[in-house]
Amino acid sequence: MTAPRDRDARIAAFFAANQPDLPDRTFDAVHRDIHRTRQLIVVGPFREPDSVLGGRFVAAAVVVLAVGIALLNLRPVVGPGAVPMPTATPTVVPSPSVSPSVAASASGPSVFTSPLYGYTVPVPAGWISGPATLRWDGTKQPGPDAETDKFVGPERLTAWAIAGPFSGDLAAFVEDRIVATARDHSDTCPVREPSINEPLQIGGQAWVLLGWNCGALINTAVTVRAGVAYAFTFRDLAVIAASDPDDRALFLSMLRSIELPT
Amino acid sequence: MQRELVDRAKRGDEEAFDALARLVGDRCMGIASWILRDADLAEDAVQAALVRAWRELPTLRDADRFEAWLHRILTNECYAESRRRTRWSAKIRLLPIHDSSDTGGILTVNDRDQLEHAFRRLTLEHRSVLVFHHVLGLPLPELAGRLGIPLGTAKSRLRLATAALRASLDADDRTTTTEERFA
Repeated sequence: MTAPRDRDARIAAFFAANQPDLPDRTFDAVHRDIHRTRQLIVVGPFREPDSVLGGRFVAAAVVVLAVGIALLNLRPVVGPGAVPMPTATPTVVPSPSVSPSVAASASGPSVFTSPLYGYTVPVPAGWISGPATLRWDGTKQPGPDAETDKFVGPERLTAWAIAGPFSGDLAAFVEDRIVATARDHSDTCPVREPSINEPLQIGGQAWVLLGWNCGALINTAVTVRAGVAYAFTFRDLAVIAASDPDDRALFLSMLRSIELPT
Repeated sequence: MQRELVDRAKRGDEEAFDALARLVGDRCMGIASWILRDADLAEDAVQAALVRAWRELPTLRDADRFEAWLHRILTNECYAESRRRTRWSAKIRLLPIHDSSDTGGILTVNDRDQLEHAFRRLTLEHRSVLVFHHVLGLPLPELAGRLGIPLGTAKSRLRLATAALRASLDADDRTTTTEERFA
């Protein structure tokens, strides 16, 4: 006869089985859906302390009085600093329009050290960084997902980075990334060949800057050092071109400050 | 990081929400896959939950509770997705059965089949309690809060669901013993 402890161990083992990851197509679908979906806006506080109930009564009375004045066709004087009267109870209504926030984080510049890939890069003020949780497998050309260190900026800027062992030289890695991009992103970026394929020297290190117009600006800077290949990608969803002077300046300023592990 | 992303997403920053979705999406998929035991349904439920979370995010009071809040939405979307699909279609894509190496050799193929069948016979509400307890490792009070049910209900569901799984193993063990006796 099986002991109860054994049964529970088997039940626990049953639930330890891995489940599938969310596929990229679902992330893409969510991205499309939220772009079309208005966020709710909350009018008034979520919850008011009991002590303001009296104030709420006064506010309601003022609203009634204002409506009465309007009905009597009187014109009360409203100063330039007047704000809409809060409703008496918290209400949730659809916003007329929602644009992406342009407000950056209040935090200043910081240095991000990649726990998995070992490089460091200064993160501009207002950007948020997050480390990769899975190591890059060396094949696919990832978007901002679990295998990439991610940097989320204001407006519609995002950057991400990967690194991994590579036996070839820089030219081979450049070709490898072009092929991987065409293979993994042909659904959203039908342009196979990059519009920009430009050698760069950054701190004595040879890099290549690749740029695609995928309906959004995609720039990837790649390098190979000591048998490790690095790819840093910069995306601007607000720019429909392979190149943009402001984006280039920002991306290059980040690249110039990167310190690769020796 | 997550708190800052939530705050930005609450202000309508789509990129921040994208990054947030990338951070939590796989875990949501794991939960939905367990509850629904169907990959297509799980994907649909996660997508619906994330879009609903985007829409309702301004109503979230505590950014640190984002994931717990999202899991509650996700569970409700799993229930809704199951109802929708049951009503309109019989098409399902079952999740692949994982090999026994995933379980460290504790489970036999028979055990896994028995548990899988027993788990699928449970209601979604009972499955949810098991998933939040065993997969997410949540204690009962946190589990009850995340599912939006009273603590007593959570305890009762966990007890009944666990008993059903244990019974399936017991039945299989008895069958095996009997077969061995007559072999």
